[in-house]
Amino acid sequence: MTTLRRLPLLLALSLLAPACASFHVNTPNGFAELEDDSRYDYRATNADGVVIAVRVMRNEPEASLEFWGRVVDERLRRQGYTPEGNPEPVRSANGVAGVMFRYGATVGGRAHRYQVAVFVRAKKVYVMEAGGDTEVFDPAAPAVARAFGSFRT
Amino acid sequence: MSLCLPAASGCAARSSYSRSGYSPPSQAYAGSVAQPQSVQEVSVASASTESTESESSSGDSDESPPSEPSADAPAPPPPAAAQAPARPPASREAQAALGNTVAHGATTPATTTARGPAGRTTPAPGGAANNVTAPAVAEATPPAPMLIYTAAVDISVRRAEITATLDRVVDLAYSMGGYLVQRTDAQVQVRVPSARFREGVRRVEELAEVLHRTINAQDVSEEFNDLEVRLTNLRAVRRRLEEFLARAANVAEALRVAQELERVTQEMDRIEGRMRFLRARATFSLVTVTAHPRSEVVVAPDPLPGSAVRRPLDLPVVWLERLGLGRLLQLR
Repeated sequence: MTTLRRLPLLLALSLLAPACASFHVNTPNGFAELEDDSRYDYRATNADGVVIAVRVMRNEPEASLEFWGRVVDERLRRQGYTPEGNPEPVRSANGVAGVMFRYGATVGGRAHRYQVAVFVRAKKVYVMEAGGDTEVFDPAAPAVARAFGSFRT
Repeated sequence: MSLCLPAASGCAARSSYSRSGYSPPSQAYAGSVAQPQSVQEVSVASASTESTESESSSGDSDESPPSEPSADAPAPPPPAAAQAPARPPASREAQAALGNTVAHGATTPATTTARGPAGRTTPAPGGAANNVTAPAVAEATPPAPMLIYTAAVDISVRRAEITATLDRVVDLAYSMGGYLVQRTDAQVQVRVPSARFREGVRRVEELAEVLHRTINAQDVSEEFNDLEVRLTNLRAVRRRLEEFLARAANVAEALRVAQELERVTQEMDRIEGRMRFLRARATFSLVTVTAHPRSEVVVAPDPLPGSAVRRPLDLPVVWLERLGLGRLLQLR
């Protein structure tokens, strides 16, 4: 009887599951998650203004990781971001393949760092970003790396 | 942190600016005979806007050209005793003096053929004498409308280039024979000769990416015609009054006539001032340029300056435009 009562709920959950684009990030120590942020699906900042963020988009036009990685890289270079090193192949905590790019940029006359990782699944593209003034970003780099390492799709 | 997003997440509407369709008139805006159709191509400002524009001359403190004026200020009211009885006789006498040529606006363009700087017909000296052959001409060519053009152009430029861009707008105005009206940090108002208005707007738009533009044309022909007619009438009245004054039998009569003469003269000054104002507005068109900073992170220079750049891929994917530090670090 109990199983029968739960059946509609289980059925509804199973129907909803394919439409969900869930992910998980551990907010590192020293960072606070920003709630009600309509522009990002996840965003956290530390007291120095280093920001980590995640956005989930539809994989439209449907394309591979290689395609989206190149598109993102080209767009950022065109905006004037200077690549720092080569693209790094990465994997999410649950094994989804991705690619990470690191850049330098000057904002308001000050040097900044910006890094972005792209993960692609069949229907979704996940973009994880981090950035901040170089002076405060470098000390926070280990925490940022931990957050990127904890990312699961 | 775990999130479960609906399928539509990440599909934001593309934000874009509006770019109003504007087909400028196909000929010079003033100084020539503009056809009514061409006037309708531009959006005409509402009555309230027109009123603000035409009456705000005092705000344009640094305007130099044609003596614009104080004439907009209403003339001091004449003494009550002189005002009421004076008007009807003035009109009758004026018509008699001019041989009934002063119909309200109808014959004015034909009888007065001198063209003002804005292409308007303006009263010719001794205009009444010219009306012998004019009616045929009047039927052939309708009077040119007197139009006051204004343009508002919103442009998008990099923040660091706002000042330089606005400087270029001012230089452009001077090079075209115009002048600066007002300047703030992100906005500049210039006047350019109406005959070169279209060229001026086009050249302003070449300076930067245009977000929005509005062109207005205010037709003040009717008001100008009214003023012309009233001025002609008043001239005739003044002539008659001067004759009366010369023939005054006693001091009391002379004083009454002199008082009326003064009132008529003041009224003529006021009308002439207003006509100068309208003519000046129609001669120089106002162009307002507002610069909006482009949200952009500009960073290291091109590693190979001057090298040929291939055409980049421009996907219609909104989220790509939102990548980068500009949005990421903006927490509010």
